[in-house]
Amino acid sequence: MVYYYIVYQRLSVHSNSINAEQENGMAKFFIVTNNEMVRDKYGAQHEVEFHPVHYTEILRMVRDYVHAGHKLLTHPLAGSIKPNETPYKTVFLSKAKGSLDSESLRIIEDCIIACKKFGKDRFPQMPDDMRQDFRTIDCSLVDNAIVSAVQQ
Amino acid sequence: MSKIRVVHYINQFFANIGGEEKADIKPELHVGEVIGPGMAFKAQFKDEAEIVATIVCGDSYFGENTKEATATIMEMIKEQKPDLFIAGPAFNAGRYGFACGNICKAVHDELGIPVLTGMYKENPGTDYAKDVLMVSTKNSAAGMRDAVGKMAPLALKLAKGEEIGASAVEGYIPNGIRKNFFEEERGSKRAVDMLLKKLAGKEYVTEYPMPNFDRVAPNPAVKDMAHATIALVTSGGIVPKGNPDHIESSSASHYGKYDIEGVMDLTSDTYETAHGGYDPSYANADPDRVLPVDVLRDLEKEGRIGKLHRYFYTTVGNGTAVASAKAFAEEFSKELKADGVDAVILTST
Amino acid sequence: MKLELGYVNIHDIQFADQSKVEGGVLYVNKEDIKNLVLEDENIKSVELEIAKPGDSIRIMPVKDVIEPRCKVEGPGDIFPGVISKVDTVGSGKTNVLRGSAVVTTGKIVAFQEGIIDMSGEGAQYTPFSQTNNLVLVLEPREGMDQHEHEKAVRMAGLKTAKFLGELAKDVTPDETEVFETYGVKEGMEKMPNLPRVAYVQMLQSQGLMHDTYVYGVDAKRTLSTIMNPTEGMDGAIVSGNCVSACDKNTTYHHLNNPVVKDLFAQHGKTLNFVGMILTNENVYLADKQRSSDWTAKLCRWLDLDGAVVSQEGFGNPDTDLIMNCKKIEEQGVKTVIITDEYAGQDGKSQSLADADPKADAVVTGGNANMVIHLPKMDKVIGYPETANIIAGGHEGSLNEDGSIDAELQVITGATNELGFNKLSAR
Repeated sequence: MVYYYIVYQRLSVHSNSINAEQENGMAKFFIVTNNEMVRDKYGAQHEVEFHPVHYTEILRMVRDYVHAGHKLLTHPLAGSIKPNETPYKTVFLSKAKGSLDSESLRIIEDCIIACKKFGKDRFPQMPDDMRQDFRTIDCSLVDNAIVSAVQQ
Repeated sequence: MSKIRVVHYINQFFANIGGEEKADIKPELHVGEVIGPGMAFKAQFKDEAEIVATIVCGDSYFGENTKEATATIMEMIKEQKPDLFIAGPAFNAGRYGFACGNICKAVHDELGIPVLTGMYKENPGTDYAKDVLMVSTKNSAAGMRDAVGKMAPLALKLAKGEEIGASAVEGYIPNGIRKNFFEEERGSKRAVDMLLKKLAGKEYVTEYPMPNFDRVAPNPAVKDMAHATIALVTSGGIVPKGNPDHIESSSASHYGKYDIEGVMDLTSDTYETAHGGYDPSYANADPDRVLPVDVLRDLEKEGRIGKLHRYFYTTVGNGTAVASAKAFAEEFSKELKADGVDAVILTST
Repeated sequence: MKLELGYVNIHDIQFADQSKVEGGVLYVNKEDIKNLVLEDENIKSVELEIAKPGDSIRIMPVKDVIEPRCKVEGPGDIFPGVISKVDTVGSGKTNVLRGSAVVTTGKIVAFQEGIIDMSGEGAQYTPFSQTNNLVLVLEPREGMDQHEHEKAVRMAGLKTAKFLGELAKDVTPDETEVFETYGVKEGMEKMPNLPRVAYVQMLQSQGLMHDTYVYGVDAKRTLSTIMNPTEGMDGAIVSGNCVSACDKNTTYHHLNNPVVKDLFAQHGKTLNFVGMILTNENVYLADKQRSSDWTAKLCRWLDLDGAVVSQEGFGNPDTDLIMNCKKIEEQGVKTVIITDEYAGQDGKSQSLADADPKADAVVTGGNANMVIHLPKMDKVIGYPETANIIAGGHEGSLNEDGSIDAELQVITGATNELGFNKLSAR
């Protein structure tokens, strides 16, 4: 009996912390991105982790977070622009850490596999205007995710 | 242009030598002879290709002496300097299908010439479909005409280096390489037709089979570990030193069962790995790293488990066909159950 | 709900002094269209071009393709909630200028695919090589952002199509076809022994250049809902999607949804086509869960026996597709899903970014990574410089002779996931 009680306590501390955040209206998510536009637009109100790394590296970081117990909140392949076309990738993750979420892991692993088949980047020397367009499109996907994220 | 040189492989049955009672005949080379199904190919090839030799081998002999048989047959084929190698068709004959797939793969890998076989979609030889182009045939020799009708033109295309179309068009068993082609009907019509078949409980064929999911639902937990008998099984290739049963370092054709009564620890003097797919030095230095006998003996002593089962089962998972692995497990699982084993620890590499 | 489509067959399109439809020819007065399009102050200029089947013409980058239609009888008007009042459409009579299309091109972003070749190797992959096309090359006002630019281009296409459609308002159709669906109870009584089947259409709804509108509502802010299939024939669904050219659904596709057509062909014979469920493809995973739960719930609630589920786009929607399929199957409703594949140039990679054993009945529109050779065309309409970008980099090439080697994914509608084409893969 005592043993169960301890387990329950631990769990409840964990879930209480999530509930408390919800009630206070605090953000329950953080954003991993390599898109400066996302950082500049949302960095002040939300927790944005900016890493000036390759698209696939962002996915790898996200996978590490999933391994550490964070849940995926947005689809890692959001946007129909192919992974070897746009350099920009932004993914939302839960701040709360629980046991490994197998669904999140499955999705991120499948996305990493899906990325590999596209081969080398198509535009290693990308002109600035094109780069800015890709930032804008990625940021637009983020705009929509934010609307959902703050509602949840 | 000179004719395309073809070597044809068939079993004892299609060579009209005999059935099961003759299944143990060793490989025979018949230079300049066209035998059995070869006649049908000859008719289809017309002047474009010529069967320069036929190789006949008993299915049992091949199955039981795969290595030697393959080596002998490869020598016979090399002598003929073929441009193309054809095996079968094997229809639903399992051992024949295995032999056809096996030889075709060896010829393709070693000689680099195009190879083709044919068999029924449920023949275990279709394990080789990813490596060897194989035409989908009916399940008995009654489908010979149809099979050769599809194989002969495809074989000529292969020999001439022409592009091979989608499996649905050319009639081969899907090999995992997706190819585009134009269907008769548009996609939406095909979807509606497929749904009607599915609703009526009729057979339909999906255009994209989902990747193979062989998910096994976990059994209920063992409640009383302190009295449970635990067995060790591995695909990591741990075998007694010297590999007494000659488990192959890749594409294993069998597994081993070894007595570990009184063995408290696997050492580099007594055990090793037969696995050819990973750096063996750490496994050879301490085979417990792959097959943790030492730890289980500790647990046994501490009373945390009832006992370690007297035998362990082992094979090499390196490129071993899924169907073979399944067949191994089906066999030894029965023994494990009969021996009263409560749980198995399965280790890989 | 009952709708009669009157097909006015168009076998030629010409510029003329007077816009009219006569003898199967669509005559277009350039000024009429220019005046209409330039009503929008966000459009600085528009050039009009004609592209007919067999012409040595390449159109790029294509933003949308729209079929001219017009309401002849019944409530509402074409493209409700977008350029007409939001009244419910899908009943009465509608005339269709069959064999014609409005094609919009605009350089909204630097990187934009979407090629229509009117002849040659590429023509066989796009349905719009078979239509008589009026192409609008649209230049935006300076300094406009991408969102406004996209909207301006979208509206120009819709307005033009509606204008052309109205030219056939009083023309007697060459052929008519009637489509009718029933209420739940009425349908069951009329077809007591036929399986109840619905069509689940997933709409692209991720963000800028990835949007779809239903009666003018942005699909990403919707819950899964029910619609009469005939409403789509009057333009209830409008495309704002201009990425992933090969598997985006243009407005033309929505108007001529082939799943709707082929289900109607069996309606009352082998099945009871109950209706359509619209759902979205959002980026937020909880939205996906909600939408797919809702879709499955609606399938159960409609007492369906079966459903066809179609997809739009690459990657992210694979997850929606699999979620929908799985959950609908779990309700005891049998599914067939329509998708396309990204199996790599060699065809050896896993085709989808998600999978489930319940998805055991799949129709595919082909492998979008397949490399094709597009010969040089005498004329390029639109923004030829985008050819450098489309073919640029490692994956393709713009050859000296003007031909292009590129993946099939650059061609508009090539691997359509509504099953519009005959292309498939094994």
